[in-house]
Amino acid sequence: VTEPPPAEGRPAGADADEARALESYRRMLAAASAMLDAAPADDVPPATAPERRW
Amino acid sequence: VSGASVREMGRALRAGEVTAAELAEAALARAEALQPTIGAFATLTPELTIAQARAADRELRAGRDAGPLHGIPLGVKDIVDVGGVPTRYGTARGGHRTPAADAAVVAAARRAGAVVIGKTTTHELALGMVTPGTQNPWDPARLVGGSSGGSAAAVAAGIVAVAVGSDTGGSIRCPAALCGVVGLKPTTGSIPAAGVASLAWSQDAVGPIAATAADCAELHRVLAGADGDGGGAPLAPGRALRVGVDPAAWDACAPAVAAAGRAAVDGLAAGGAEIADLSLPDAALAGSASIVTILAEAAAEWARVLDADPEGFSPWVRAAVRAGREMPAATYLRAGRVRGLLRRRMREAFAGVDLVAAPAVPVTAAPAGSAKVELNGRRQAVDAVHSRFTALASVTGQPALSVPCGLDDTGLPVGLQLIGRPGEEALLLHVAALVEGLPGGRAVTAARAGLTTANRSGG
Repeated sequence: VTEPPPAEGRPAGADADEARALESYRRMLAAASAMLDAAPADDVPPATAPERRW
Repeated sequence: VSGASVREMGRALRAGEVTAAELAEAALARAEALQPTIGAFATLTPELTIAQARAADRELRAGRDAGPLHGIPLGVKDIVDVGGVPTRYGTARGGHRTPAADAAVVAAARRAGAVVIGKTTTHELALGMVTPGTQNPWDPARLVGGSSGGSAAAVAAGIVAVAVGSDTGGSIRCPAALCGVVGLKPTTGSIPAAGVASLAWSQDAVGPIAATAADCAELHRVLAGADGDGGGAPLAPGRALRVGVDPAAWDACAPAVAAAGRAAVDGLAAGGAEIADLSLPDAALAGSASIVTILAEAAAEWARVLDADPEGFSPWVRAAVRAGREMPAATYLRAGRVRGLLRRRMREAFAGVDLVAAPAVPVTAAPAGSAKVELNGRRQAVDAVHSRFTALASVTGQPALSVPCGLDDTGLPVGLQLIGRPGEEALLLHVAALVEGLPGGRAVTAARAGLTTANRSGG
């Protein structure tokens, strides 16, 4: 596989680093999303602002 | 003066044994001397620093004492504005600006007499748990943790006694644990955020990092001043402290971390605390809610800045913001719902206890440059390991701190995390001082004193 030439001003390899990092983030988010979906469907509303005191 | 506490410096100042200008010069000299090995500062501000210090001296001579931080050198994380000094966010070039005004917390610290000596390093945009380029004062071949790595390193190296950090998923507690200092993430929303760059608004918290719990309390009181009451009061006299512990959490840590944490809990029990076993919510579920929240909110906050100058940021930040932008809205909302669920479960867990003691970071400082660390026989991503036990209090908004509780077999420090009810920072700091006084805490204090004298070449 030949990588495209780096964009002007971008260090060589930066595009490949970004592509690898993006794939890593996508895998991480897919796993996180699956875990959130598997959590109990409770009757709690989404958090909007944190409570200051209980 | 290297390694001196706020109280010790304050006593010497008021006794006329030292001036604020001399304290500032010593801190600047030590910071510069340690830049090649530790690299805790992104910017040092000698002219501003000396001017502030001389003003502090004039005020004291005129009988105007602004309190415990008067004349005390302070480090400020480089996502927090100091008027007239560039804010660089740990980026190569992206987003750099020179604010005209101080962040609210910096203004509060300066009103209290603190003397800013410079901007401490941060992981880029505070999005990461390593702080590349900054080395651990306990062993410069080890990670310092992040993202407030410069603030923790500056305190551990004895450059300053107190520094300002920020914590969105563990960014105060993680470097505090790995550097053997005290770091408090206050209740989310309790410290004014004006002039502080946001990573994820619903989890961000500005807070203090200090050599001791007492110094941490002094800076916290000042930072909270504008909006808060300093975090409630310790327990009523005569009532036993009730500490909740999830025994399973220690099993997920490196053996030396588990041993130091368990010893600290045993020490609290020996001192009269009641220990109650409980079950904390799943750390992985909290971590999932946290990373979804952080990437979505960071994308919302930073996308336009990145679009204007993509080359000003690293490939990793560009990828993180892109991942946040392409995330379905339903995923972010689901994370919010799970955060509500986790908050409810924590409230239930706190029904019978005053605070929870847990690991801060499940490992001690890994070798510099590690992308993965070994934990319980598995190689795991360093960011995930560093935030494993800190994400929970970030998603629920509770106050939490890391306090040194022992050393591993190579002499690296271990942190104990204390998590409280919202608004109960004072109780956490009170108990942190008790942990400091236990054998494990005393061992860290003694070893850290050795660090500051061994590197005293800078003054």
